[in-house]
Parts: sequence; C-alpha cells; structure tokens
Amino acid sequence: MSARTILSVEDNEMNRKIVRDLLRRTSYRLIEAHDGEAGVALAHEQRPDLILMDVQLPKLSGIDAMRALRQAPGTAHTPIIAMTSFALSGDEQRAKDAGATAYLAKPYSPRDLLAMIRRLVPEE
Amino acid sequence: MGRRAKAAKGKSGAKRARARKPTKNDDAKLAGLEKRLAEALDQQAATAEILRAISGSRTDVPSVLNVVAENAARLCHVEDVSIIQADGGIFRVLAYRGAPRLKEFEGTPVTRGSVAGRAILDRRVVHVPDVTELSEAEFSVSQALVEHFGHSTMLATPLLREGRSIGAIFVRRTNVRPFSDREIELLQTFADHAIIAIENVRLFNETQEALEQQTATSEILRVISRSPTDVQPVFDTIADRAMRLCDGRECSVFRFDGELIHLAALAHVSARWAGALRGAFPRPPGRGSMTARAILTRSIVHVPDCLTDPEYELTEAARASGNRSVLAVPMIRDGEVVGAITVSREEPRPFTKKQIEVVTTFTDQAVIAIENVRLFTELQQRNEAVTQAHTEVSETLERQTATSEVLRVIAGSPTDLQPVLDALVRSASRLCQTADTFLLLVEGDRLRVVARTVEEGGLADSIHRGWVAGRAVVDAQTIHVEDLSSAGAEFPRGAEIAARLGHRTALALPLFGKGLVIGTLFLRRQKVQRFSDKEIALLQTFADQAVIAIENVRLFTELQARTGELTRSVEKLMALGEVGQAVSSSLDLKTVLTTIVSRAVQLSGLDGGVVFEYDEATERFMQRAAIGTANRATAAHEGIRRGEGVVGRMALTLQPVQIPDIAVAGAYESRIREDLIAAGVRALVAVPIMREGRLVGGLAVNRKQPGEVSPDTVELLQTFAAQSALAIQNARLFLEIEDKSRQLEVASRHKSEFLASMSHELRTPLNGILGFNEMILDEVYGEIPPDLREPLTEIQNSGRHLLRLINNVLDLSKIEAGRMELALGDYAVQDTVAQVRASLHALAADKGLEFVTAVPADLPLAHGDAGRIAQCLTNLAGNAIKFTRQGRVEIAVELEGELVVYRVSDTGIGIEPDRMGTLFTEFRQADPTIASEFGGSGLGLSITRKFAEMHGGRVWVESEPGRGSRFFLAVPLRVGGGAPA
Repeated sequence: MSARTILSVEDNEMNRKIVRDLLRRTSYRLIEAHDGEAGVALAHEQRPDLILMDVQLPKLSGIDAMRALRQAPGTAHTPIIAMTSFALSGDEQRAKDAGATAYLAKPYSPRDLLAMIRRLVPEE
Repeated sequence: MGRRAKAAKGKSGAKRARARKPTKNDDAKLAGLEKRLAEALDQQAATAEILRAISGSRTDVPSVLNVVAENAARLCHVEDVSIIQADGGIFRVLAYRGAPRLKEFEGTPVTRGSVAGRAILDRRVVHVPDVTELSEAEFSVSQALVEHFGHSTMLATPLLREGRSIGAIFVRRTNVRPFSDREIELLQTFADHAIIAIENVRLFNETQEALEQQTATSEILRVISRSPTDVQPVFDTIADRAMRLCDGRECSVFRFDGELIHLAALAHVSARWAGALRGAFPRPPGRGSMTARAILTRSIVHVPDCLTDPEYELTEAARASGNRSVLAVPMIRDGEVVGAITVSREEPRPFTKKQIEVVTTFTDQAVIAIENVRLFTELQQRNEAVTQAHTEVSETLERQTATSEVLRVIAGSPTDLQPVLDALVRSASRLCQTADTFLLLVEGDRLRVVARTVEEGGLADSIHRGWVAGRAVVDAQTIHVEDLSSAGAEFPRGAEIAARLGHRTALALPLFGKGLVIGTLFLRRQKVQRFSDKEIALLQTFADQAVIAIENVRLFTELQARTGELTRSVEKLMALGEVGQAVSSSLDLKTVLTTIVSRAVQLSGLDGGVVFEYDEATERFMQRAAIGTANRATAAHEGIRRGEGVVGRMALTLQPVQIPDIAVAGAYESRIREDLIAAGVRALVAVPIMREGRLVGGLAVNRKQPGEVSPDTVELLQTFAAQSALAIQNARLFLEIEDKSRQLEVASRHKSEFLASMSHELRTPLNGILGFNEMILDEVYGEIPPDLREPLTEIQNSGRHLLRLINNVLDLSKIEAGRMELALGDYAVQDTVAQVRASLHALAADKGLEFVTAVPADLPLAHGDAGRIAQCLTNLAGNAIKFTRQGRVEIAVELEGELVVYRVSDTGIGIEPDRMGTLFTEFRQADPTIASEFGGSGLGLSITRKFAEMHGGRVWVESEPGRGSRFFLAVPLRVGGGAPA
C-alpha cells in the first residue's frame, strides 16, 4: 500500500512550510492548496487520507470548503483538522458543525499537530 | 369459672359411669351431684332475693344488708354474720344476723388485731379455721372476743370498692369447721352484693344532697335578687337553709362592723338559746364564742363538742339549750371579715366536709348580698347627688336668661360685630330701663360711638376727664353721676352734653381688653335715678360680653387671614413639589416647562404664560412652552430679540420687568403688541431664568386685567424661573451626555475591533516563531549544538508568554465589548488540569520549581467552558511560577458540594494586604497604564475573575507577604444547571 496522503489547505506560505518541514521526516505524502476552492478541487481529485484546513482562506472560506467536502461522497468521511488563528469561543464549535474531525488553534505546537495526525491516520 | 370447670369434669365422669353396671360408689356420686345442684339453686335464689331487695329499696341500706346477712348465714352454714363498715377507722355494724352482742363491735377501732380489721386493712380474705390456734400477739382483739363469744372458726372477706376497702363481711361458726373454697367464694359474692347496696345508697344520697344544696343555693340567690336593698331576708333564708342542710338544730347569722359582732338572723333557735345569744352579742372578736373565734381567726371554727372546749364562755347556756357540735364560718369580702354563719347541733357529732362546704358557700352568698346592698345604697346616693346637681344647673341657667340674647347673637355672628353690639345696648337699655345706652370705642384720641339704642343725637368727643364716658376711659373705672345738672364743675363737658340731650343721671363702665381700656359702655337717664348695684353688676357682664365679642371677631378675622395665608403656601408648596417632580422625573424639556408655566399661571391668578429659552449666539428668546392667552401670538414669532418687549427688556437688566398696561401708549414696544392686545392681554411680567450667573431663558406671564402684580407673585414667578433653569440645564446636560455616550460607544467598538484584528494579526507570525522554534528544538532540522538549546528554549517560553498576553488582551476587549460568550460543554477536570500542567511544566522546570497537581480521581464530569477554565488556571499558575523564586507551585482541586474549587498555591513573594482588594480589578480598558503593566499579573487576574463570574463562580486570594499565596477559583460543577452526563 502506498504512503498516506495529507492535503494541507493554507494561504500562508510560512504556515505551509511548517507543515512541510514537520512531515519531511515522516512517511506521509503532502499535497498543498492555497485557497478554499483549490483545496476542494484537489481533495476530489486526489482523495487524501487527511486534510489540514485553515479556516481563514481566500475565495472559499475553510468553513464553506469543509461543508462542500462533507457533501461530496468521496470526501464525506475524510478526517479534517480545522485550524484557525481567531481562537474565539465558538470557533471550534463552528468548525465542527461544518464537518471538522478535530480542531487546532494557531499558534499550535507542531509536536501536537503531528500527534493528532498520527492518531487520526496512523503512518504506514 | 373454676366451679363450672369442676362441674363439667364431674358430668363427663358420670357419662363414663353409665356404660357399666351401677355400683354403690356411683350412688354416692349421684347423691353428691344432687346436693350440688340444690346448692346452686339455693345460691341463685339468694342472689335473686338480694337483687330484688336492692332494687326495691334504694335508700334503705340496713334492710338490704339484712337480706344479704340472712342469705349468707343460711348458705354458708354459719351462726353469726355481720356486715361492718370502716368509718374513719371505727367499726360501724351495718347489719348482723345471729348474736345481738355483735352490735358491740360498733365504735371500736379498726386494727389488725381482729379478723375483720385485718381483712379490711389487708384487703384480703382472712380465714381462721381454729381460733384456739391463733397467736395472741397477732389477733389480740379476736382472742378477747373468743373468750367472750366462744366461737371457733372465723372468716372475714373485705368489701372492696375501686380497690379501697370500706368494710367487711364477718362470719363465724361456734364449732371448728373450716370454710370450703366454695363457701369462701360465695361469701365474696355476698360481699359484692353488699358493696352494690351500699354504693347505690351512697350515690343516691349524694345526688339527693347535691340537689338539696343546689335548691337551697338558688333559693338564696333568688332572695338576694328580690331584696337588693335589704340583707335581712337573705340572712333569714341562709340561716334556715344552713340549719336544714347541715342537719343542725340551730343556725345564726352575724354581722361584724370592724369592732363588734352583731346578731343578724336566727333560725329555729330555742327561746333560751336566743336569749343567751342576745345577751352575749354584740361582742368583740375573741375566743369565748365560736362565732367570735371564727371572726378573730378569720378561719372556720369546727368544734365537735363545745362543752369540752376550755375557752368556751357560753357553756352554761349551751348545756341548758343542748348545743354540742358547733361550726362557725367567717364571711370574708376583699380580705375583710364582715360576719359569720354559725350552725350547731344537739349531739356531739362532727359536721361533714360537705356540710362545711355548704356553709362556706352560704357565707359567700351572704357576702354577695351585703355587697349588693352596699352598691345599691351607693348608687342611690349618687343618683341623689346627680339630681341635686341638676337642680342647681337649672337654677343657674334661669339666672343666665337675662344675658342669653346677647350670647345667642355672639354665637350667631362670629364675624360680624355690629349685631352683637346692637343687641347688647338694646338689652342694657331694656333691663336697666334707661333712655339710651351707648357703646363707645377708643379710636386714637377719641371715643367713637359704635352702637346705641336710639338713632339720634351725637356723643363723640376726645378722651378727657371732663365728661362721664371720657373719665371712665381715662380713670379705667366705673363713673356714676347721679345728677349731671349739678355736676357742671366736675364734668363741664358732660353737663353740656346732658343739657343738650336731656339726661340727668349717667353711668359709664370701662371695657377692658388685654388690660387696656378699649372703650366704654355709657347709659343715661332723663330723670335723676341712681343705677342700683344689681344693675351695675348686670351691666358689668354686658361690658365683658362686648369685649368678648370684639375679641372674638378680631381672632376670627386673624384666623381667617392666617388660614388663607396657609392655604396659599400649601398650594405653593404643592405646585413646587409637582414641578420639582416633573423636573426630576422627565427629561422631556417641553413637558417639564409646560408643567412649570401652567402651575405658575394658576398659582399667581394670571391668564397666560410663556417660557423662553435664550440662545446666546443669536441673542434671541425662543418659545419652549406656553399656556393660556397669547400662546399663538408668541409662538408665531421667530424668537424675541434682546431689548424687545418685556422679555427683551428683562434681558438687559436681568431683573423682573412689569408692564401694568400695554395698551398705554409708549409703555410697551414689540412686534407682537397688536396680537397681544387683540388677545385681550393688558399686563405683562417677565422674570429672568438664570443659571450660574448666565441668562438661559425667561418666564413671561400675562393678565387681562391691567395693573401691577404683587411682589409676592413676582417672587413666586422667580421660584418657578429657578425651576425652569434647572429643567433647561438638565435637558442640555442630558443631550450632551447622550451625544458623548454615542461617541464613546463608537470609539469603544472601534477599539475592540482593532484589538481583535490586531491579536489575529499577531498570531500568524507567532505561529511561525513558535512552530519553527519548536521543530528546531525537536531537531526536525537536525541536531542542534548544546549551547543553542538554552536560548532556543528561552525563545519558546517568551513566545508562549507573548501569546498568553495577546490572548488576554483579546479576551479583555471581548469581555468589555460584551461579546464574550462561554462555549459550554462537558469536560473532565483532570484533563483540564493536565493540559495546564503540560503547558506550564517547562516554565516551572526552567526555574527549578516543583510543579504538582492534585485532582481527586473520582470527580464527576464537569460542565462549563473547559478552554476558559484552563485559561484561568494557566493565568493563576503562570503568575505563581513568575512570582516564586524557589519552592513549589501546586494546583489542587476539591469538590465542595456543587462547587469545584481549584486552589493554586505557591511559595512565592506573597501579596501586600492593601493590594489584595483591587487585585482582580486593576485593569480596565481605558486604563492608560495598560502598556506599562503589560508584564504584570493584573490583566490575567481581571480576565480570570470575569470568566469565573461568567461561570457563576468567583475567585479570591489568601496571602501574606513572604509566605506565598493561595489563589482560589470556585465554579459550579455543572454550569447553568447542565444535567450530569
């Protein structure tokens, strides 16, 4: 079986690089999208094993993107970790209502993120 | 019962016997059975007879008991039976059968020395099968009797009533033959019968006695009510009834007047004894007579035999008339002895308790009778006094008739003096038969006629001693001149007047009011005739009445003026109160000012008014509220210029301005003059409305009636103007505040929004710093030189600290903007504490501090905002770590009822007491020191407090400088009553 694929949907290059560097030493395969629309399209095309979804995204917000993913049969059950830097009370609930499997507030600890990924999608 | 069981056993034995051949033995048994049957029948017959006797003669105990005794003798085969009663420790033989000598038991004491005595005292059957075997020590009495009577077997069964032994049935046989169980049982049955008979009679007698007593009492009461004025019939009745009820022979009633005892009533007293009593009474209290002794000792005297009393003095008479037992009961009212009732009987037999009670009751009734009569007499005396007083009043009233007309007039016209004075002079003239009566009053240096009988001829002059009336005033005394025609030397002016008016005799009485002469009552006669003393005395009353009338009217007028004044000030106060209320309760300027101007107009009796507000910039008065006339005229106007009209003129002087009549040419110049005149306005007044020395408006009022308004009214208008000033000021301030609030709100919103977006913007770079740094430390990029590890860790800690500060700022801004909401959910306290520990563990470890947590394992699942609770704990524990150089920091959790209490304790520097009070409230959004205190602890504590309160909990601290601190956070286990999971 081929390596697990993780889709990172994030508009900020620095944040993308953190994920990229974090997963460099793991067996996960990383694919990236820069906005919500592209993220949804890529998910449909590549069917990743897990999606890291920033909530504040251009074109299509993370919330709307997750709703769209949940409605499509191929991604309806894909684990999604929602990430936001607003950290307002209720953000977590909103993300979960839209379909997020887990939630992480920015700034997050890369260590915690990796643990969370491993829990949801164990490495091969 | 036992007997019946035995009989049944016998029957079954008989049945068995029938199965075989009869024997001699069987015959004997049959004979035994027949005997028993006969006995049972006998017994039944006896019982029936006794019961018949009981029911047939309820009151005759001896005859019933005789039947009992007879049957007992027959059925128990005894020679003697006696039924004995123990009456006060003495034997009384109620019935007996057999030897008549048994009667001699009567009167001997009940002791355990006799068989019957022992049965009574021990309340049990005493059976002596053979008297000769009795020990003498035990049965001394019985032994003695045996010698006397010669009997051998004895038995006594007690008569028991309600567990108390009242007597015994005593039986004896002359030969030695012990009683069988059956016989004993039978005797007990007879004992029961005897008891029933005795009880029956006792109850009957008691009822009878009670009835007699009641009858007697009610009879006495009837007599008392029939003779309210006389105690004698009552005493007579009492004496008679007491004698009867006490089974006495004689009864006498005595009165005691405090010194001597008087015989008051006698009943059935023998002539001899009556004579003795009459000879012995009245006498003082003493011990020589039982009555005198009862009164002396104030207590009941009961002597069973007066002949044996050593102190008794009437022994001879008592012996002669056969008086032995005496009972004397004192009558006592309110602690005072008022008499006594004495009963005596001819044989020495003590009176029973009941009889003593009866006599005591009678003494009470005698006291009531005495009291009744006393009250009646008193009442009658009072009545007489009232009647006499009434007569006196009537006479006085008759004497007053002469002056009644005047009094009536005074009463009838309290406000008008003239009718009173007219009536006065008329009455004076009539009663003294004079030609003319004058009433003159002092007016300055003259006397003025205010009333006179006839309508012609003048009598007025300056006050001097040259005429009669003048002299009365000057000398302040009555002047009486018999003939003025011959008194010209003394009364030159008087003689002159007399010659003119044609009178000879004159009298003048001064009128005194408050010690001053205020006038005079003057009478003249055309012929010479002195006024009698009686007439002068009468005239003196008229003079007094005149003064009273004058004074009355003066007081009345004064009172009316005062009342009017008072009413006006009350109205004023009420209006001001209303206005004050309007000013304080309404912020609508027009409403307030309309209230003010309408009250001002109403209270001042004016026709209309306007309140203007003065605009300093344009120097114009703008109408704000108006009422009544000229409303339209002023409202149509585009503001009144300074200097124009009455308001404009007031603005120049800042003083009230009046224009008595605007119709007068040149008095008033204004563009609205014609309109006002058309509306009927004539007079105008304007008062300034000032606030802190500045003109803020004007109050202008108008009246259709031309003329000046009173200074009082102007003053009132100024008061209203002051109120208006307050209202205008209030309204202006309110508008200002409203505007400021709006501005503040906008600014505050901007600030909150700015802070929210700022904190978001700050997070993104922080994510990079913390993320990359952590990965470097985790050697994602390869091994790091050991020297770098410490500074890199420092970067990580500082970054986290910065993040916390940013979070706090964001939270505070949200809280202040009211946008903070809790995200409620179930959470495990253990997890939350573990999360806090994980995030601060490194920080504590770096400072070399011990950082421990203690959470009970069995805590139930909590409900609340876990993130916020964690934030609070992080704040508290973060501070604890920051302010502790060495030692330990602990987070401990305890469940106290429905509260989860988190305790964060440290061994740090502690907190000064004066700082503890404000510790949780130091930071406010508007606080300019926020930046400088950024590194302080207050921001986090403020937020912690807010979160605790949002959870319905609280935070507090216990600390001592140098001895560490303990911060407590207590929140409900289930916030908002969330049902336990």
